[in-house]
Amino acid sequence: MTTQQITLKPDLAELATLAEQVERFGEQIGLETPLVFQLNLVLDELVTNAVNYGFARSNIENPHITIEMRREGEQLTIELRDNGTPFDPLQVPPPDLEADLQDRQIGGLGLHFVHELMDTIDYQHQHGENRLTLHKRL
Amino acid sequence: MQLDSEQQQGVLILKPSGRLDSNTAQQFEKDLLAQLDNNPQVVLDLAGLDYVSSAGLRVLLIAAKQVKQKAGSLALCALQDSIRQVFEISGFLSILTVCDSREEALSKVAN
Repeated sequence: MTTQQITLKPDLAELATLAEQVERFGEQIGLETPLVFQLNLVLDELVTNAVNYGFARSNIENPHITIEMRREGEQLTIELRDNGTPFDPLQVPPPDLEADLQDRQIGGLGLHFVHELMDTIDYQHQHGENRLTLHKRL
Repeated sequence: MQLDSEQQQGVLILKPSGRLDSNTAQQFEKDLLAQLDNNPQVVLDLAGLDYVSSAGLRVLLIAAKQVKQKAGSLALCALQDSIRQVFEISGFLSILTVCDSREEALSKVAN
C-alpha cells in the first residue's frame, strides 16, 4: 500500500503545490498520465470549492485542508478533510449540460467532474470537519 | 500561465500555455478579454495548454459569449487529449467550435 498525505492552507496559490504532489504520487504508484490529470482535476475542484466557500469566513481557527491518497491493489482511495463551513457537495444539483452557449452556466461543473471521474463519493461532517471519501477503481 | 499572440491570414491567434486553474483564471480572463476587444475573428490555439479546470472553462465561456455578442467568430484548436476530455464531459464540444488543426480553425473563422 502506498500512501501520501498533503496539507494545504486554504489559498488558491496552493493548487500548484497540490498538482506537484499529485504528480509525485502518480509516479510512485505508476499511474498513467490521463489518470494523474483526472485525479488532479478532482482534487483541484474540491479544494477550490473549500477555499472559495468553506473558508470564505475569515474567523475559522487554524484553517486547513488535508488530503490523503492511497493505492491498495487496484483501488485508489482519497480522503479530503477540511475544517471550513459544513458543506455537502452531494447536495449540489447537477449542471444543465444541454443549455446553449448563451444560457450555459458554470456553477456545479466542478462537482460534475468529480462525479464523472470517480466511482464513489461519500460525505460526512464529523468532529467539526467536512470529510469526503472518494474511490476509484484503476 | 502565459498568453502569446500572433497574426495569421489577418486572424488573431491566441496561444495560452501552462495551467489554467482557479488560481490563474482571473489574470487569464483579463488578458484574454482585452485581446478580444478589438478582434472579431479569433483562433485559440490550445496546444500549449496543459491543464484546465472548471474555473478555466468559465473564462472560455465568457470569451465565447463576448465574441458572439459582437457578431465575431471564435474557434479553438489543437487540444491536448486530457483537455479534450474535460471539454467532452462539460458538454463544451457542442457549444464551442473545436477543431483538430489550426488550419481548420482558421478556415472556420475566416468566413
